[in-house]
Amino acid sequence: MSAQIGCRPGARRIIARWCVGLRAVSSVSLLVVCSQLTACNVATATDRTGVADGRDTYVRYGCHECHGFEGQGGGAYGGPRIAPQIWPLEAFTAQVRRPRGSPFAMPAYSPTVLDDAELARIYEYLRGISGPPRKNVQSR
Amino acid sequence: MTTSSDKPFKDDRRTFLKSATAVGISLGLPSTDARSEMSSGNEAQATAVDSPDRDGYTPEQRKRYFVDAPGSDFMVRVLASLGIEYIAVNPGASFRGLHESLINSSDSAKPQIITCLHEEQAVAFAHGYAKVTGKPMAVACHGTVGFQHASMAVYNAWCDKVPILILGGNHRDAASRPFPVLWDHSAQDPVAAIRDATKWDDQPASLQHFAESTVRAYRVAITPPMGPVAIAIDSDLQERPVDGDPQIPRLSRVLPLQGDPGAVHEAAAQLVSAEAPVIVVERYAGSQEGINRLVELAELLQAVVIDRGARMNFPNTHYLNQTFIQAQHLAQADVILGLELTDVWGLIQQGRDRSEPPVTIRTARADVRVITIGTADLFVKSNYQNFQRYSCADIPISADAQATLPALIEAVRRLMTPQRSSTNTPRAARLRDSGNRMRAALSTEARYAWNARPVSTARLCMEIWEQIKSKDWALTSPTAFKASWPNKLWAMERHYQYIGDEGGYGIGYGCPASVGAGLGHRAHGRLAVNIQGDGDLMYAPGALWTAVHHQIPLLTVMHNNAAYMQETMLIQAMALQRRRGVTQDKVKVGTEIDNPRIDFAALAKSMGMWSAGPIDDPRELREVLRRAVAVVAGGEPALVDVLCQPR
Repeated sequence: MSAQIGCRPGARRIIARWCVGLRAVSSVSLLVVCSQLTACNVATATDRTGVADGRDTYVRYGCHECHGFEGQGGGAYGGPRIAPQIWPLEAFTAQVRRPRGSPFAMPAYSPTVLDDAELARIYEYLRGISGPPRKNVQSR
Repeated sequence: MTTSSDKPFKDDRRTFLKSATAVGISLGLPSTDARSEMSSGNEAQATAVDSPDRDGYTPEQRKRYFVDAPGSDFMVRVLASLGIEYIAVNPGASFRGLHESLINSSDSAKPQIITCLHEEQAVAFAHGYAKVTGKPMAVACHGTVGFQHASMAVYNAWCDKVPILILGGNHRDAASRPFPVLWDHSAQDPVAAIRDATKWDDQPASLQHFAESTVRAYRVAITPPMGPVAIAIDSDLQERPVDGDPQIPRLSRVLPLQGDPGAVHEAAAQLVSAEAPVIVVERYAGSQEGINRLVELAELLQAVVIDRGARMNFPNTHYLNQTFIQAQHLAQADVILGLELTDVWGLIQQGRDRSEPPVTIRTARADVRVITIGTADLFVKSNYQNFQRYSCADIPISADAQATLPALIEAVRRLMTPQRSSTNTPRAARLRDSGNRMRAALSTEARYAWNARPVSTARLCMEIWEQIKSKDWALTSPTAFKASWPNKLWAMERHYQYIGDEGGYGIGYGCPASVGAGLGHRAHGRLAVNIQGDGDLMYAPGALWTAVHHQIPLLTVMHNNAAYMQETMLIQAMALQRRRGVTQDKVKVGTEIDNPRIDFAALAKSMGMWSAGPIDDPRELREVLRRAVAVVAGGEPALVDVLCQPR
């Protein structure tokens, strides 16, 4: 136990700030990204192998760590909600490849580690997620 | 012997003055006759040595075999004089004398032993207890290996500015160490292991010295900025008969420091003239009075309040609490008032992670004025860097914020003109609207992944809320890794309903601190709730046993995501930066807590605790939680293991 003293707090503070920043990557900034795109080198939506495969890919690359298994988001120490109102593929791809909009942007998924076909499958998975139940959450 | 040590450690000045008057304290003025301020702690000693022996031992034999008035009995009386009700103990030979006295000495007010299975748990237990009750408890541990075990939890308490009185045994006299292990458990300077995370320490050489240093340590601990203190207690001093007639000095409390009147007036003027004032609050409120004062100030100014969540500072049901849209308010603010902040630098700027060279990005207006009131600068140490990056506020006021607020409120009232007051109505309307929209958005966000398996964190928190909302409840655990859903969705209005986080981000705090907090809540019949991370629990699972052993009612609901998830995310980010090995089979090496999956319900059951789970179907939660709450309402702890989403 004592061997871990001191290492974790610093690491947590770094990621905490990173994730606080991630929360600031709002849909507003992503819309800006979208509007600025003219072309993207991405796979087309025709490269689809099903939602289940998309979910596997989504999880395999750790997207769920920050955004949840259904893209619902993870708060200040996670990432923003990314489903079901997903952005156009071009904007989505731009954010994954070259994250922007925050001093603590999410890490970049380069084509070397996540190819365009895999990215497209993830996109299809997120696009297929249905909305939440209509009933109100009775908070407070 | 009279003390006011049962008062909350965040006493306000008015309460303090009343209690000071009641006990006739002459503040800060030493008595010309020290004896007159002390009470005898040694009533039991006088008759023992010369009286006839009941078992037929000669005086020489009695001296050889028995000790009738051990020094540790006196030590216990000193602790009792401070009003210390509990002492968390993990047993060790170097304080065996004190331990026995805690059990068998005759003082009716002596602290009750809480058995802990690790020194780190003992200190974290005291940490949670102090934040609920407003007063320190004691911890006893070995002065060498015990202090080393305790050190991380002491660091958390240091960062969190929480008072704890730590006693550590030591075999100071080398000629009194007959066995090798006593040498292993002795030190020239035993407190060195934790000194960088304590406000003060001492190693007394006599019982009189012990009494004065322990009372001094207690006072240092509860004087803002509060923090842990340590006393090394020599084994000979504990085990040998009391020598002489040591006296216990009276505890006098130090007046909480109020801000300089001129600076407070200037701060009020800035706040009154501001068009978009924002109040950011961190380790501020120590009582309901503190919360009420902040509500009064915020309403007077119609200022947005952002609660950094280190304490329960401001009701989350109040429309001015707009914590979860803080970025937009901080960006628009023309005056920011920070109360008991650690990170002032981060109010107006941010750095960038993984940036070469380092980048600083301004997040606030260029003309924003920053006012701070807090005690952080009053006591700073060098080694640990938890004092955060240097930042100079425009009006930095070094004082206790809660004690200063009445003067600030009064100054604001004086400066409020009818014209300024007239701006409050439209401002309030705007802020009510944005506050309502924030709360509606949070409720909507909670619905996403509502039926997901594993269970979404929002669903978990709402199912718990359904079971506790009609009761007198209190949350005992940090919420940051639970996406702060309780702070977003539960109605938090009372000062005890949330006690913040670890302080120093040291893992292993959640469970023992919750059990300690549960002990504090037990006296009030409150339903204590701990939403417990799996990684955190496995640092200190023995705290579950302590809860059962001492019948501390506490509902523990596991947020079981089968990983050190924050570290998984860190490794993921590193791998992505290096463009290699980014998949789960790689990044979870060293961070997952799976294969095998820990059966937390079985773990709790093995320690005699009612438990259920693992549960990954949200539809099962309601009934299981209902039964668990019933167990806790009956006075026992319970644990429900829930397989959850990462955040």
